[in-house]
Amino acid sequence: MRDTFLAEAEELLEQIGDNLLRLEKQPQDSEVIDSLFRAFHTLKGSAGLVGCEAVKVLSHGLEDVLDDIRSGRRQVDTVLINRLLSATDVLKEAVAGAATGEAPAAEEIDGLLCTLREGAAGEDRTTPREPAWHGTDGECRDLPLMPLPVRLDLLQAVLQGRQVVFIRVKCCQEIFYRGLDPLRLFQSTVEAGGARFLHLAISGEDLPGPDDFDPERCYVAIEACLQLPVEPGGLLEQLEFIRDDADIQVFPVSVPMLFAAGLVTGRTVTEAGQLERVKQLVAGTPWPEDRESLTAKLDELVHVGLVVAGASPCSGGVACYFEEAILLGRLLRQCLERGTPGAGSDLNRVVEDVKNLICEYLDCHGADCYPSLPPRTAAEDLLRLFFPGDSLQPKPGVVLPTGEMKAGPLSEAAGKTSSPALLRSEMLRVDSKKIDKLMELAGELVIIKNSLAYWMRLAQNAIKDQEQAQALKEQQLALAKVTREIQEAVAGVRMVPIGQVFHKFTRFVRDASVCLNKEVDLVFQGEDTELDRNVVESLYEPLLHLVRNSLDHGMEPPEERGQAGKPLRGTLWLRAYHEGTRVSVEVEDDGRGIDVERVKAKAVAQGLLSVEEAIQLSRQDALALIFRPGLSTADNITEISGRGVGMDAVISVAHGLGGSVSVDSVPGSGTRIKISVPLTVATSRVLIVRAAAVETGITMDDVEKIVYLTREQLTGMGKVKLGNTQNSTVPVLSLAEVLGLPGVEAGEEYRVVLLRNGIGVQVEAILGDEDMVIRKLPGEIGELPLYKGAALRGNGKVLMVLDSKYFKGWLGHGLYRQS
Amino acid sequence: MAFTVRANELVLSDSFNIEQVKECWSDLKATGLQELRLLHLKELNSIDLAGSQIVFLVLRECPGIQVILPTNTQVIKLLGLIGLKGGEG
Repeated sequence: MRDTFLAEAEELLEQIGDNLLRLEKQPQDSEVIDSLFRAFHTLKGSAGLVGCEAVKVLSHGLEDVLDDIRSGRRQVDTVLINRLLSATDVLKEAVAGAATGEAPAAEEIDGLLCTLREGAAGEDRTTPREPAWHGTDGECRDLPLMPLPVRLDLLQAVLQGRQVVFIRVKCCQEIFYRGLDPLRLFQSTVEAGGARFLHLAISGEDLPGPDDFDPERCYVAIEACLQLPVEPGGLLEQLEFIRDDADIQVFPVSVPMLFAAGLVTGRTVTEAGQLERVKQLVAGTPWPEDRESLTAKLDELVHVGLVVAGASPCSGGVACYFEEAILLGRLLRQCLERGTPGAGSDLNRVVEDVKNLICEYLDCHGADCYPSLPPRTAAEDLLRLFFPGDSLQPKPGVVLPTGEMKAGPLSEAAGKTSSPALLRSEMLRVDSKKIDKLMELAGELVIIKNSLAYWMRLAQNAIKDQEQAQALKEQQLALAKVTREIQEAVAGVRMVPIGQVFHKFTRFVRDASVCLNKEVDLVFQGEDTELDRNVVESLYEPLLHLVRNSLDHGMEPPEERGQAGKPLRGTLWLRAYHEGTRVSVEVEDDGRGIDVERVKAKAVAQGLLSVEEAIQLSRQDALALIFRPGLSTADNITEISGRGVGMDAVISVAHGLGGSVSVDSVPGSGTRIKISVPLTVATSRVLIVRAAAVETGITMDDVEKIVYLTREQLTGMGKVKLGNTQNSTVPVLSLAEVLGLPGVEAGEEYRVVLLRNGIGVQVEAILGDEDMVIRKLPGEIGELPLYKGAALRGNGKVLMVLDSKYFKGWLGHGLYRQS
Repeated sequence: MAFTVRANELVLSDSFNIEQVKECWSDLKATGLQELRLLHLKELNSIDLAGSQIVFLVLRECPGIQVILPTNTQVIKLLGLIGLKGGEG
């Protein structure tokens, strides 16, 4: 339960962060405001379910602010956005604390809430609030505590479109001295206003202990649910008479408000025989499929439920969802009678889902029991399914303005909400470790499949019966096909959009820009591009370094941009796109570009290069110097960057992922840095080659093509040759020599593997290719730069897989040796 | 007399309202609220919100108290608002 909460909270917090930044740009966007409100509301509810008080309290405070914004009582400005962002940061800490047990201090939360409220008070000075008539749905929490028969009646009334309000009258303590009986006064006022009592109760939650109790002071509050008359103005006029003596809060009652939002305690229906009777009714026999019989079945459920609830003793303390089950049954019955599930929803499926939930609620009683879906959420989802965009949609926290009563305000945004939990029933939230394990097993399956293929080849000649041989061959091919499909399917599960990482930079770019006094627009391109989750997560750190550097060093301040004739606002692009089996991720800015001479000078000054080497360096190689450890062109170390430890980390992570990094920069126009990574890091297609009787592998991602060159096409340059292919001339290395082994004379034809990095590798034989799981080797052998790692082949032997980058280094070394 | 406080027993009768609550509460405190075992309301014909507060507090502070319900339906209805039922509170 807690894990689910943490996962859900993480998603919500990301969504909140994005929407707050969007709100800053579009303060009037009601969709964003509604979305933020819902996110805080959901977070509050979920936190309540798992008992995470800090998150609940803070979410509630933030929800109040959003409610003020939504109702126009508060204006959005940068100060408010900063406060909301800071509060969201603390909210993140509180969520993280739910996992580690280190919640933010209560004082910190109180302080934040005070700050948030301060702004509201400032608004109040210019926009008078009507305190007597306002409140939030949080104060309507008593509705689910009402007796089941009352809740069923209220549900019925609201679903019939009647204007039902919850009203709470809290009189001043001195009212008895005025010779008034508030209860009688309230009753007569309501009746005179033409409203009808659906429920009336006295709440004693503010009643003090015996020592502090003064019997001549009024402590209790009157709570009622009223069905309003067609013209509610008369009631308002009547209530005006008691407004001076009482704080009056009025809320329109919506269907979801009648359902418990969180943990339900204080009602127990555990008497085995009675409960079994209801359970038997729900789960004991199949539910009919036609609407008429279904509604009859649900009527019976409610009837029996009422009998059981009435007969069961009330005792507090532990959770029990019995009444929620009955109420949900009634709601489904009303939905069936009045509506049809929206497009794309199958009625039988919805009924089945609700039935399962009812069963779950019936089983959910005892200490610390939590259902998978809170009753209020279930009710909201059911309403969205049956009445999308209808007035039955909930809009929690909406209050009735003075003099203008209207029932059940529409929540347009609620209608737009996608994927409610009932619809989400086909989705499954799975621990990523389980997917990783599945991927690992799929990798093992690949190894076994390869092994089987190897042994099958050896055994083919031994099988005399051709039919048997053919059958075995077919089964082996089928296994290979299914294995590949399994692997692709599991890999597909792990694919996530890179936008998940991109969006994390929205806040960072905003805050860093403010810190650096720069104006920067962040633009995402190709954020839907999917790649392996592990790759996506690994890319965050290198992208952070690149974005930091762009903002700090690349992007000019507005005045400098103005002088250069550029727009005052700079643009930073985060871009992703497919390139074959790889994905390229780019960070580009329209800043000042990289000063190559300055980079060279810094490298020389830091002893990374000699002056001569610096002069001979090509522009591209000079640009690549920025990835050298410790090299920073920044004169000052700032909070953002400048320590020279970031860019080499970019290279390191990219290489760790089997990727590469390239840089392109135009002085005065900007810089683009590209990280190219494989789609997935699970398995690789490996070309198996032989040189000096040793078999090694080269990943197909590194291979451009395989060519056969004649002796004439290879011109000697000592130990490094140049190979003349159709289109170009490339340096060709002997793999045997690179491995330090005596090579075999090739004869007239040379087999050369042309790598993507522009180097040819001469081998003695090409032995084929296989899907392999490449693993890093532990210990010293894993440190050897020649190898990416090792893979287990079908024949059970270990194949060392070469790192193509090593050849480039070796080539430089070889040329140096010759010169 | 609208109320009688005896050992372990509070009897409310006729009309119990703001005029009686102060004295009643004083007696209850003197006797010991925690000692109450019986709340006798059979003869109670009317009660206001101030009186209801006393009943509310008694029910809250004496969870196991036995209640003899009033016969007056209006009073039953009124006390029902504070969740009062017959038998043990």
